[in-house]
Amino acid sequence: MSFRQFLIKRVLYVLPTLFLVTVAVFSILHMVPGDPVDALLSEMQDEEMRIILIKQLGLDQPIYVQYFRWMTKVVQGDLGQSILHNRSVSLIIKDALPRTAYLAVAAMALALIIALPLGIIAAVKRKKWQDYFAQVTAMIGLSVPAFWEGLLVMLFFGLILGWFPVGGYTDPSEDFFDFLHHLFLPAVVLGFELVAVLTRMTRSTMLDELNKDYVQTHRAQGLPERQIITRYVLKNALMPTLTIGSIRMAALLGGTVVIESVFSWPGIGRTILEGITSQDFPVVQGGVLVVSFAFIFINLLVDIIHKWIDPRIKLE
Amino acid sequence: MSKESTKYNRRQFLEFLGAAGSTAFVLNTPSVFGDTPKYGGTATCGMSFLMQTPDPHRYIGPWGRQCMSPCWEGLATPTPLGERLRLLEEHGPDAAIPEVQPMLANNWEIENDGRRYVFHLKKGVKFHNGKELDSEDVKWNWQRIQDPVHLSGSRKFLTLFLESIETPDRHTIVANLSKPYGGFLMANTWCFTSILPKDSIPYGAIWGFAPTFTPSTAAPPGTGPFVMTEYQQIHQAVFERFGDYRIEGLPYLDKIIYKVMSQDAPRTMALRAGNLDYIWSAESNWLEKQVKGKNLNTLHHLAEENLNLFPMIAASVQTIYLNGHPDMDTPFKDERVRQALDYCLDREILAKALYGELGIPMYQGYNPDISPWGFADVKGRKRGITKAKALLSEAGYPNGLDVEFKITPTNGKNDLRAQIIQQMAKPAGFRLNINSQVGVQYWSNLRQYTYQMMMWSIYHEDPMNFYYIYLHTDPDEPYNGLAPVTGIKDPEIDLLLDKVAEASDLQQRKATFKKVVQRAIDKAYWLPNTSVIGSIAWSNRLQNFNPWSYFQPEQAFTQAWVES
Repeated sequence: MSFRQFLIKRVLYVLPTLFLVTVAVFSILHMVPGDPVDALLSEMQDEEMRIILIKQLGLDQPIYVQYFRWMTKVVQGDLGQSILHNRSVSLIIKDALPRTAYLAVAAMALALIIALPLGIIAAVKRKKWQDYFAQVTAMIGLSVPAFWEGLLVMLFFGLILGWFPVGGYTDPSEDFFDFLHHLFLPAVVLGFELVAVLTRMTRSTMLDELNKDYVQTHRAQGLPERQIITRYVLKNALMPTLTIGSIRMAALLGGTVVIESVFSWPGIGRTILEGITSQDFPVVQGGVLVVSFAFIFINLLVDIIHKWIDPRIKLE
Repeated sequence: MSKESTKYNRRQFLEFLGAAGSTAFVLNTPSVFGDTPKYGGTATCGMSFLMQTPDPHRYIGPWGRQCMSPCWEGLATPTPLGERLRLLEEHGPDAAIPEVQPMLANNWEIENDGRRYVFHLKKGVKFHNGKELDSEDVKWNWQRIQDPVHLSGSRKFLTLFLESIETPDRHTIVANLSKPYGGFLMANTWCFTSILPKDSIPYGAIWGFAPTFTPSTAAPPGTGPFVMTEYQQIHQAVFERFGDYRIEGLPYLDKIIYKVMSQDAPRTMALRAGNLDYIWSAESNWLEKQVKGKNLNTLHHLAEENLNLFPMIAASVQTIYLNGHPDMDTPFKDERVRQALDYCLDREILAKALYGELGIPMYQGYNPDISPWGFADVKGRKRGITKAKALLSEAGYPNGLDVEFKITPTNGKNDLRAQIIQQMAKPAGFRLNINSQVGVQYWSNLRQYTYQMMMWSIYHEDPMNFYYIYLHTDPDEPYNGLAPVTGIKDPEIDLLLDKVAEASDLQQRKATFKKVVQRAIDKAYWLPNTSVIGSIAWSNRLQNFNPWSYFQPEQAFTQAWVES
């Protein structure tokens, strides 16, 4: 199969996947008792207003009619209007998604900067203090809940040392330095868990590679250890790390609800969560659709990068 | 350990107020805590939530009021707690303290035995869009709230008996009511009826809601000291100084920013770290340490923290709603089962377990320490398992009964509260099955009576806006002679509530309402159980910020300024 055929095939897979996602999200949301009218009316026990709203929002129509209407708009590039905020869902996502992306990219960058060297050193210095240090760090990163870690870094770096603001968000277009200042702590907390995952992954794949015959051959040939690791071992060992990292990155784009809530970061995770709790169907449907698309797109990108890094990979 | 260096108890504070010659709502002189007013600067606030759409007619609850208070005003404002306490101090505990005070109306007359309210508007009041306030604006607002298409939170409260409106001149507006209605003044305070300029929102549209209406500004114009210029519900709201505010020289601040920080702990840390100037609702552990040994409803300076604290009793009371609808599958239509459950509750233990020193046991919907509608001498049931068992047995449940208990775990400490109540009720034979739901399901259940027992709250400033609406039977569809929410049908409570509605004299209203409260307790229609001490806190940078003088703390930004 040629690269072009592979690409077309993968893109065609995207459409039924997204369709199934929309059906699932739509059905689940409509199966939950209560509706957005309840959220809009909240404490007002007024049936007259309720009847008016149900008609206004088209909720008196059968569910398949509602789905068809929504899908017709989506196909035309219109994700609809938020019921609670009357903003276009596209605009709401356009505001929220980049904020989450900033956080995800910063966290991933921090994680890669730390995890790759740490994982490599841990593998090369196996059963030495560097290895134990890396493993303990990874264990802490995996086992400490993010919300607690978030509160701890806020307390220490925000309240005690006063180096960083305790939560909040500033748009980079308003004040770029302040944006970075606000970004640092949530990115560190989010990145810490990634460090743990990527360090362990890098270490184990490096160890696998270091035990392979070709490494012994290179050593026997007298190649310096540094050259063996950087030129041969690393290239092979990083493939699984790249895959895991990419999937995590895609998941991060889907929103990091806990971190966004603890650090008051107005990203896509909080937006979707807010939509779920108030049953703002269009926001949840639009948000999940965009996030699913991002997830699928990143996976496709990873496949392409795999192929580019290692031409031996079979496209089928 | 106390960290305060300067503590103002209520008496000292009142003396201070008196010496400054200020009454609580006179806004023309900065009299408390500040030296020289400074213009300019920004106050940054940490808020739990913002209202969903910046349409002041939509919301009547606490989140709405936080956003409403800098922007929008009404004909009147509820009397601030500070003013009420001051008058009680001056005139004794039986003093007739007015429920409301003038705001956009200079004064008013109540005629025709409480069926005709004549409001005289202040002259020269400007809206944020430059238009001058007149009686047609007020008429438009009343009509907008009355029309169900606008989903106004105060529709019933304001227009329950509103028959016709007259505008005899530009500055006089008259409401003719179908029957005397004592709650009408409170319904015209800014929290329920903010005044917007006529036609500022097209018919049928809600600001930030109707697809056919795209506003050009962040929020509709009001007459308040600040203009809302940015609104992002999960991020922030920005308010900027209104240069033509009706009180000359005010406000001092250029800008207020409300940042949404929904978690208590980070919000409190942000204030303590100096990232914020003001927070609503401090984290409970920190607050418990700070308020130990201090007076409530009093301003405290926390010297070591460089902060100021105003601990106050929360206005809402957590309540168990019992479904008494005769046609629904609920054991609570039997009065004895409701009373049995009431006998299971130990409110003191519940309050302590949930909130520690900050908890307040409650038997009624209003706390007498902060509300004129609370009564220190109404009698509630004390825990008595033997009585509870006997009542259950009498009601036909000698072996106990299974009950579904619906809760919203995200609201307050409802999950923990439900588990404690579950254990308290167990010895009597109640087997409570806790069922967690999201908020919207809650309202749906209340509206359709599809619950047995639920957790909710009672609040608002006037009994007409809670007890009347939820306990008085409604003859129209879909309630057909039952009370909305609780599904009860009690002619005696209807009669009492009608009297509360019709009395214009406050003392007479209170005396009758007390009978309503006692009857609701006796019949166990709902089970109020706890309230909590909440707080607002602010940095020393924020000067002349005096929440004591205002009904809603955020109104105090009107007179505040910031020191660099």
